[in-house]
Amino acid sequence: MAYLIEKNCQKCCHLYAHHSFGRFQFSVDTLIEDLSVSKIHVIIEWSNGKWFIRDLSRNGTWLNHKRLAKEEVEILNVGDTITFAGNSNTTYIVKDLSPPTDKLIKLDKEDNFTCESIDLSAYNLIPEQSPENVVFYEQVSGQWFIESLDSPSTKEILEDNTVVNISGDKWLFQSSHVDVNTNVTSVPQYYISDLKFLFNLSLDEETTELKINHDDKDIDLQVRSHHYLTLNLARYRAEDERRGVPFEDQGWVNTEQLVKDLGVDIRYINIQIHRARKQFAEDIKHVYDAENIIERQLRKVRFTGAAFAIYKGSQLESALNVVNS
Amino acid sequence: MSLTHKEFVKFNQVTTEYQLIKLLNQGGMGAVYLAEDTRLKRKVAIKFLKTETQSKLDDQSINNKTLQEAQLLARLNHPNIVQIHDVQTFDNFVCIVMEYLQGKNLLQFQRQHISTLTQKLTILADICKGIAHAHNKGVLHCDIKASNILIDQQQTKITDFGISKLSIDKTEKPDASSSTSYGSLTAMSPEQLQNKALDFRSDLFSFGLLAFEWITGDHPFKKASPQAISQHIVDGEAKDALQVIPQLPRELALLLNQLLQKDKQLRPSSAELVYQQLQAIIVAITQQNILAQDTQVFEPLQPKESSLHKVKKLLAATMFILCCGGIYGYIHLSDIPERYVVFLPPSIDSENLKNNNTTLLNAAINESIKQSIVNHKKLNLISQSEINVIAPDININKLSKSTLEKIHNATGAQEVITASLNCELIQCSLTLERLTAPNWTVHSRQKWPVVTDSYSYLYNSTGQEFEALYPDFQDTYLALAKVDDQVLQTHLTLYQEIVIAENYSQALFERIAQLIITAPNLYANYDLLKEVALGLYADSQNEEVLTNAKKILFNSPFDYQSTPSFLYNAAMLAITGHEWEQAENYIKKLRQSDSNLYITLELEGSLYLKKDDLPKAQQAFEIALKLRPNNITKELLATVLWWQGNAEQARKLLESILSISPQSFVANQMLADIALFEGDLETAIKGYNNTISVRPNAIDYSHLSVAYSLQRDFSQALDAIKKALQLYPDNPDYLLNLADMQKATGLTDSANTTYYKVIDLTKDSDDFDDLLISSQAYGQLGNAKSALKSLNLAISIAPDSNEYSFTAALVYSLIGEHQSALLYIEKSLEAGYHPMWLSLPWFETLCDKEEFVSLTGQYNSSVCSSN
Repeated sequence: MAYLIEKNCQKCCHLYAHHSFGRFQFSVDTLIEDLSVSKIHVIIEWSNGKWFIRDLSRNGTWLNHKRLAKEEVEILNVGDTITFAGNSNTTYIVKDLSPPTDKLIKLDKEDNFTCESIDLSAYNLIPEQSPENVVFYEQVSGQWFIESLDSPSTKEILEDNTVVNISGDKWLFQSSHVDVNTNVTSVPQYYISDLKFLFNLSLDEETTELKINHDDKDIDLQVRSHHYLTLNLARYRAEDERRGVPFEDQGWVNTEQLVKDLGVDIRYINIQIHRARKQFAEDIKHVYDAENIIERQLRKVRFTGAAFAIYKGSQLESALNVVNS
Repeated sequence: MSLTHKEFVKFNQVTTEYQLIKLLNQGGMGAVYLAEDTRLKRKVAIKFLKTETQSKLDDQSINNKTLQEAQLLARLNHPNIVQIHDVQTFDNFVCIVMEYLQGKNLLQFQRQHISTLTQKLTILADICKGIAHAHNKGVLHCDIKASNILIDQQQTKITDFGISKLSIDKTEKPDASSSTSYGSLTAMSPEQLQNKALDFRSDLFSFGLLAFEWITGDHPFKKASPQAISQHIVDGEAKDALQVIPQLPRELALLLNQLLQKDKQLRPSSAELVYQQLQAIIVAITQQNILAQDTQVFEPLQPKESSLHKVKKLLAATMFILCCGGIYGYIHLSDIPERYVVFLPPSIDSENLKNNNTTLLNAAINESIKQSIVNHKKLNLISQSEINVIAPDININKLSKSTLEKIHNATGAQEVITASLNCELIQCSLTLERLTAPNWTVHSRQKWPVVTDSYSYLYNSTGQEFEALYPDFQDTYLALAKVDDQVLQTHLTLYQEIVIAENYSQALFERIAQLIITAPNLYANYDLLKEVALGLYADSQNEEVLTNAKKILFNSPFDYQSTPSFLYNAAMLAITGHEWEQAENYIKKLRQSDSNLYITLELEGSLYLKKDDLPKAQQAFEIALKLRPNNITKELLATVLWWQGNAEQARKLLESILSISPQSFVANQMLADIALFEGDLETAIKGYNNTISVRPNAIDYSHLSVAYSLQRDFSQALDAIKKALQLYPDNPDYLLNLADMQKATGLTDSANTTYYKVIDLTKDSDDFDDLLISSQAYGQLGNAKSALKSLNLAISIAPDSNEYSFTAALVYSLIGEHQSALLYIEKSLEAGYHPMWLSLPWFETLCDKEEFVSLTGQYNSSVCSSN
């Protein structure tokens, strides 16, 4: 949510991790059209956990009425005022200094930035109260996507400055420009099929708890309402295994079938799927394609886990590829 | 991951040789700390590389291979490589102790500085030197990227050399699912991404990625995400550097493309070679930048030289405007030959056009192309005024090869550019075509959709599309300015009036001066400024115009002042203002800049012409004509020939012009002038009436009046001179003429008033021409004393009696000193004046002299017979 507000025209400036201000149109992030402003005048950047400001100009930058020494960095604080070249034609006030993230910025009717924005985590249901869309980051491709909850096959790529429509408002996607470590790591990646899922269902089927085991390490995904859906999908998979369906084809369920079986509407199902994916993507590290815990194709879904055990109460209801219970 | 506080403290306890001070940077492989070398008392940087094992390392378990590698790295000793001092272990970290640098890394530098191409190439060359050194020692980097280059006070150093290999724990067996290569997805070579064997050419590829992205602004394999980019590196092709930035020096683009070859056999064979090529490119660019030198300010003004007699002077002025009109562009002499380009008037299909102002649309396209051509170092623009004379009603939709041949013959053009704007119902499009000699087929064409209500869009997009017509001619002087609509519209309107309509007025001058203040980045305005100034000066002879124009020109932005356009305009103003030394200096600079020889010759010719060094002027123009045979230069040469007394050759040249372009105003005018001088009054009068009907101008009216008076048709003469005075009421020359005609038609009172006016205007002047004028006026009024005073003063200034002999004859005749009059008459005749000049009424007093009667009788003059 890091942003500044310009005092004279009340325009909001949402900060990139490395944000430049100046007269050099098309090369700077925020253009200031004033002849006394240098081509690259000042930089605000996020470094080692803090926001810094650095003056690179000929005519100077003033932080709270004190002129910055050229090329020296100063730490920024909320409430600071920034002016350029000794005049106050353009005055920025620092409003928020949260860490830079990829975000959605709300646009007003004239397509200008408002000060309202949503910081994006890997998986987001938007708007939060009554979600209509999912905005998520796909690790494998390094892309952001937006998907409508009602028609999940409409997956739209989000790139820097893409504008999307959410509940009648226009929102602009701004990537953070953080220097992402796009390193190919030497840490081994695991697949979902390497994980063991342990479902603990209450007897009245009201509460579901999920734990994941890998390499003798346990990850507790706790009790969540969305685990119930995952569990049911696991059940279908177990059923397919019993019926001798080949491994690659196991577990597919039509969404209409799910709606009938669970007695809920399609939107609810979609929300639960996304919640499941979100938790999985955020809590499980080092897994290749984590958000695909629930896989979907046109009008059908399935649970991707290949090894799981479902306990109802204290009874083992079903298990798949699990050696010890 | 940086150290925890505990680890930090522990390190300082455990390690005595180094004491950590603070965290500098957190990289992907590890954190870098500022530390102090306690023994050598210097600052160092220590990089903590995390390894993958859980168990602690100690000196024994850090296996030999790693240590050997570290030793190899420590042996690298080069000004462009960050020096490694020591390698140690601590917990499960491998610690690299290295040279501490305070500056920024290249990534930060790129974001915070605007660098010129040369600056970028210099830094890249330094990086290359470092890489070459390491390769010679058998060390690969394997992770070349902008964040691994440090820049500190003019020094460029590569860091993290080979460190990627150190960080991989050699004690653990790599398993199938882990990737053994390490690096940044967007900076790796295809073989690296595919985990194949690496060699020095992988480093060259990564270097190529770095260079390409910095120079062009875009990653050569650009896609939406880093993962997609790396995929593209593996299975796609790099962008062609030449396509991305056509203005890149060709050798540089080829080098970049070569570095980015997927097949490593096709990449350059060594970093050393790449370094040498970069050096060569830097040298080449720097030499081209010889223009970007400080313009020196010169001491003003030579005293005005004594000039030619009045007829010649006025002719020179007229000639000069046209001389300026003929030349606009510049060519850079190099191995690509200069091309002379003609741009035909655009054709605008106005049927479906929303914007009714076709003249402004026309001007927008015109100006944009003109400026683009002028801005190209190897293209030379031929002014449309040269075309208008030859083919006034060209229809580019019906261009015949013969018309194009005609244009070629008249101007020396090798390329013709046409533009046509066509509109369907909702969409307009503009098409540019480039036709080349000798076949005049379409060499290239650009067509694109345009909006016609934005002049700036039209202007800017035309400029860009024009570039695409000349992919081989991408050397330009300046990036073309992007201008906003309002400014552009004003500019185009003025362009219309000044260049197309050829109106020159003080009001226009002020408007262009104002526009220059409003839009200093639209350099085309300076050409308009020069046009107006020279045109205005030619008509009014007002020095202030030139002074003001010069002031404005010298206040122009610095980068404009290093272009040939500036030098050219400055030279023209200097020549017109008779500032020979300054003009010579500008011309010298143009020569130095390797600018088109033809242009320089034309300027030299004009300079010598003005300076009255006719033989040199003739020489210059003759050579220029060899380079580009064209009508304008022929006209100038004709002038020079005539003034040296070679009327015959001059006339031949003029007639050759007229055979190509019968409408040539200047050729017709000059033929009339020659006729007048030679006493062929019929031809002269016909000629002047002709030119006046095309473009009424004071000089021709004045000459016409003289012609009529020589024919003794004084009332016509009076009419004509009055018309001249309507345009320039205070010109002493015209006024004298008027007074003479008034006197000749018997309007004695008016005549005297006018003579007094003339005297008033000239009495305080010590200008040669003014003195001659005032002496005549005094003579006509019967004031012999003052007449002689002025005349003698004039004689004392003049180097050459030819300049004043005729006037002297006149004045002596008027005041009754017949002997002296006769003497000067002889001299005049020797100088080449046709005896017909003697039939002016003022010589009538000589009719009682035998000599005079016989002289005039010989030439069939009627002056004495009317007595």
